[in-house]
Amino acid sequence: MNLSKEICEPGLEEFLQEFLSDRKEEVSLLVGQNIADVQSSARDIGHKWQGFSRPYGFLYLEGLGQRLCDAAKDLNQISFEDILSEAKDYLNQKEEILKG
Amino acid sequence: MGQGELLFKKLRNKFFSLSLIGFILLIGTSSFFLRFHDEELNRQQFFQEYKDLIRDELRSARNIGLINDQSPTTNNGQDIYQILNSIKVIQSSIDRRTKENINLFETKEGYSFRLSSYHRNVNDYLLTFTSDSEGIEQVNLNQKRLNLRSSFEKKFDALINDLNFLSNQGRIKMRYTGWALVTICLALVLLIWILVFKPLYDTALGQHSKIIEYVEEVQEVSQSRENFLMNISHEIRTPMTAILGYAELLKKNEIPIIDVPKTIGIINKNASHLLALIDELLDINKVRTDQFEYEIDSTNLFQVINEVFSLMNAKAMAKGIEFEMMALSPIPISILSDETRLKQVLMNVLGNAIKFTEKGKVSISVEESGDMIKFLITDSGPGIRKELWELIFNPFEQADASSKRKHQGTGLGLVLARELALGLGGNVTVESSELGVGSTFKVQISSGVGVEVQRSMISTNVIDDENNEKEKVSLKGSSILVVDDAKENSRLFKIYLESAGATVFVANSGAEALKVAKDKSLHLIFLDLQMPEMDGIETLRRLKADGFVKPIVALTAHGMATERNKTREAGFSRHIVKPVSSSKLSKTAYELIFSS
Repeated sequence: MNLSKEICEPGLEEFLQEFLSDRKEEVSLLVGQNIADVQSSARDIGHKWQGFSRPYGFLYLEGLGQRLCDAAKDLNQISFEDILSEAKDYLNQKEEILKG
Repeated sequence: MGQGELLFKKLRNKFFSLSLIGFILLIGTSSFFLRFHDEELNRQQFFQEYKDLIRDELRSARNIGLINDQSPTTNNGQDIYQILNSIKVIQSSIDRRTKENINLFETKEGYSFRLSSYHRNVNDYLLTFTSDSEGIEQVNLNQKRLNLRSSFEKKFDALINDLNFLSNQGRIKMRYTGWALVTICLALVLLIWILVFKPLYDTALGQHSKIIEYVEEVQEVSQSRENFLMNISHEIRTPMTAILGYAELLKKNEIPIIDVPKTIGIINKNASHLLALIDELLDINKVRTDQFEYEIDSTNLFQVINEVFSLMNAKAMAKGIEFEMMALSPIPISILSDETRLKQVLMNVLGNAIKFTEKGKVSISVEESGDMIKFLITDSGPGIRKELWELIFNPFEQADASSKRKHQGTGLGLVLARELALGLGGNVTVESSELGVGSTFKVQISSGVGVEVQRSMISTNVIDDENNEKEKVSLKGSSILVVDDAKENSRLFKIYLESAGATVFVANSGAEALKVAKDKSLHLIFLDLQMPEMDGIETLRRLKADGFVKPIVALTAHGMATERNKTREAGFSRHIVKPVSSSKLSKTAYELIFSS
């Protein structure tokens, strides 16, 4: 995955670690859950990712947020799990970049 | 005259009365008849003289004792008086037939022959007396007879010639009449053919061609349907086989416990694929049979493009390919379209481009072209042969059959994209393609807007937006409250607004917002709609109840017309859709604080 074009807006650099931690926490809250049980939370989280990921340079997460909203709406367990798996991989990669 | 002859006469007269040629013939015949009438008088006079002559000779011969018989006969046994009667009959017949103009020419020939024959017989008879006679009375009788005969011969010859002439005339007339009749009949037939049969024939031929065309079309459609059903059958059987196969194994406990979740996952995945296939098939069928209802409404084009971009960008990034978007001209911010279907069209075509691109780049450009919005989606995939440019819009067709199993999907993406685009007043086509280089697809949809609609250049944060610098406004001296339960948003908006010179306060709930609004002198509030406990609309109501009169702007991820109407009716001054750029936020604040 090419993350080189994911650049955050000026002034937000100091908040990236906090942003990343918060997102990882959200993912861990949803992983292993049944979509029907966490539908509302999944939708809210997806909605938030959609709304603020881009300025922080997490463009891929914005797309995942849209998909998460759709999966929650459709109660699609498979999509839900796929999205969370992708989000986990992505955030790990971002963490590596930020560390580096 | 028989019934047949009467009928013929009537028909003939009718014909002559109806035809121009008949008219001319009538004229000719009239003059002919006139001439013939004169000839008739001469002929009658001649016959009278002839009979008188013969009677005279017979009387003279009897007076001088040459004839003793009361019934003198010729050398061949014909009674003279009978010959005279026959001649009388012939005369009457000629007269009658001449007047009625019936078959005269044949009869004339017969008459002339018979008259000549009678005359020869009578003459031969009379000659027998002269050859045997003696004495002056006989000499005088002979001389007189010779003189009379001489003038008679001349008249008789004239009569015969006249009859022959009339016969020829009649023959010519009949010939011309015949030819005229034939010509008229042919002309009538031709006219009827041209006016009646040919148009009917052409119509029948045309209908026949149409029927043939229709039958061929139906056969083609039938064949297509057959191919389609075969393909559907294959597309359905493949995942069904996996589902049934794994389900059977699970039922028989032949899957290790550790692999059960994975197996269930495979079953679910194939089931989802089937569901997606069925949904798309139903959609295509609905669209094609005009059962599909489009919800044409004010559509935020910018938001649609942004959402599509972010989704597709994620897919592109997952594959390690570049994805970019650019605007080639200012485009309307809002258009009249079906937002959901528009997104579906763009995602299907973009998804297809990303699916078939293994490396390189996928880009989408957008521009306004007349009353259409035009998107060009370019990829660096394998390219498509020209003869397949239309085929790929057929269900289950991929340009390269060998890659069919390699690339997952229903095979209906482009089909549905085109059907939906057609319903939105546009189309999806292959703009260009080169094998080994890539393809460009063109998506066009009707914008349904006029020149008065606001336009702008679309941009994303991924691409350098040079316009931002030019549009920078100053919010110096203003106090703004940002209310959002997501600290990421409130933090972001605070940075945006402070960079424009504003003093910014932050609240993470509706209750907190009420407190800040009471304590601070604010010029503007940006208020998120979706907040727990007290949402944005409730917060606005309470703010107004507390006497807050300054502008309040709704911040939301939803840009649909229904949402906009809701916020407008609630009393919000503006409706901004997230994600929102720094310039957009600053400009909105500037307009509401300093321009109003």
